[in-house]
Amino acid sequence: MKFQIKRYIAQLIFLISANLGALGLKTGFCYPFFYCNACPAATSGCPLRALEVSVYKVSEKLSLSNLGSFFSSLIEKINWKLFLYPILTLGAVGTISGRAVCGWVCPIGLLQRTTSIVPRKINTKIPIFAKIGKHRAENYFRYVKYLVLISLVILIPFWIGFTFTDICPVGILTGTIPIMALSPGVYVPNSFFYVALVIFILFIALIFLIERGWCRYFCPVGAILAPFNKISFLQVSVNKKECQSCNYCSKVCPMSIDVPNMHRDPECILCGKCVNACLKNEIKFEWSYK
Amino acid sequence: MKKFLAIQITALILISGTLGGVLYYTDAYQEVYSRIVSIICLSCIKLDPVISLGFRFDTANGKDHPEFIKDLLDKGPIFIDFGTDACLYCDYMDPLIKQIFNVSFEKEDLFNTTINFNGTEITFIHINEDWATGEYKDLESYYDVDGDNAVPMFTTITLGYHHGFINPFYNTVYGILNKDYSDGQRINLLKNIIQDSIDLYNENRPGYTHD
Repeated sequence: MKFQIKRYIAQLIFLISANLGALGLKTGFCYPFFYCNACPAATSGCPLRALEVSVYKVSEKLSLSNLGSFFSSLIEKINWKLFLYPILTLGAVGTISGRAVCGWVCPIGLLQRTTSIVPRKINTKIPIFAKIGKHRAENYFRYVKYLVLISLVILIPFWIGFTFTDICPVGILTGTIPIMALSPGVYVPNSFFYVALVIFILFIALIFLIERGWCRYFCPVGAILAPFNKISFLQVSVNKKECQSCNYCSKVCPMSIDVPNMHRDPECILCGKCVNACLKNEIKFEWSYK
Repeated sequence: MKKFLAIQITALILISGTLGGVLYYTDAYQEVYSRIVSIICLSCIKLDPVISLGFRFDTANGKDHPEFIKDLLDKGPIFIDFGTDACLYCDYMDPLIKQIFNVSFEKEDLFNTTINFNGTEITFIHINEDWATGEYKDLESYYDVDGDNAVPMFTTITLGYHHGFINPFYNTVYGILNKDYSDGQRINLLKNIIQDSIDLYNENRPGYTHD
């Protein structure tokens, strides 16, 4: 069986297992990928929601009388177990397999995989999109996901209240739409609905214009997993000595990584497309410690 | 090479060990289940429930009303304010609730008290689901008519005539009641529900007995 078909099967199996709540299986685990607990069929909790809840409005409870009491109240008021739980879950998975979760498990990754044919065609027919994708600034734009994680998931909930989950486009896709379809007339849009709807439309536009656009630029779960590529046991390695620099691997890479020069790139989702594409078989999956 | 392997193994042991510790020694698993997975997250779905002003007899979980609620109904109608620690709309509604009942409380408080509402004694109960214990812990399951564990949830319990008997009769509303309402309209709506419950109570109290 072809390698990429195996990946499709893995993604479908994980999509189904993420939705076993439809059969009544609800657990207290956090998903190690990006999926919404508000989905009527969800089995587990969104790691980002757990992070938001853990720091929710902690700033209001802090003692500001002196520095010592400030730090002691900070330590006391953050719900550490709820803060650490999703990070450690993602960390354990990330230490073993890096961002392979994004390429092999995440349902939103599967969605973007199915839409990826559109941005590839657009890039071929409208060269400006390909140029934008290769612009030097594009690499810096990838840091936005870290800003989203720190600001919208942690800092703003710490000071003001829920933010990311209020505007999350995946919440609209997997929560709002199914719930409105299953329970018509029971709910009405709240004040964040239209903002979230605009973001959802931008999300859809993004994934149809840029392959894996969400994973590259905005996914906070990807931002947590990405650093673990640096130390993960599983990695994609390139034999640079034998590489003929045909660059075919980079052309097929959904994350637009410069594969021949890649070494434990935080953006690599270990999808294996470059492994399949290399005519010389010089790109391999490795359980490595290099 | 060996140094990097040592780093990898140390990281894996530290992370998975701490994760195991968090799961084994704390209630993080239960907390994610009860506060995130088992409830419908209204902010995640960007929706509010449509309010239903109807009173009803049958509890949401199909069980008989709790004994201590029946006991409290001997004294007068009951108003229950359900919330959680992390609840945006609780933060919004709590000041309005305090204004209506002229009570003060902190978010984590769990208490019941008797208050005077327009000359009638009613029982006010404040429950923070994250801290609820004892008989208060499962109370939400009796009155959460939408079954979503959504908070804030406001339940007013009174008495009503039901197939020849006087039984507990309750009304539950959620969230900010109606997104298009002003604060004044929200207060009026809750006051109207409470006034209805008082009228029903006064009408039916003479026929109320419970074992």
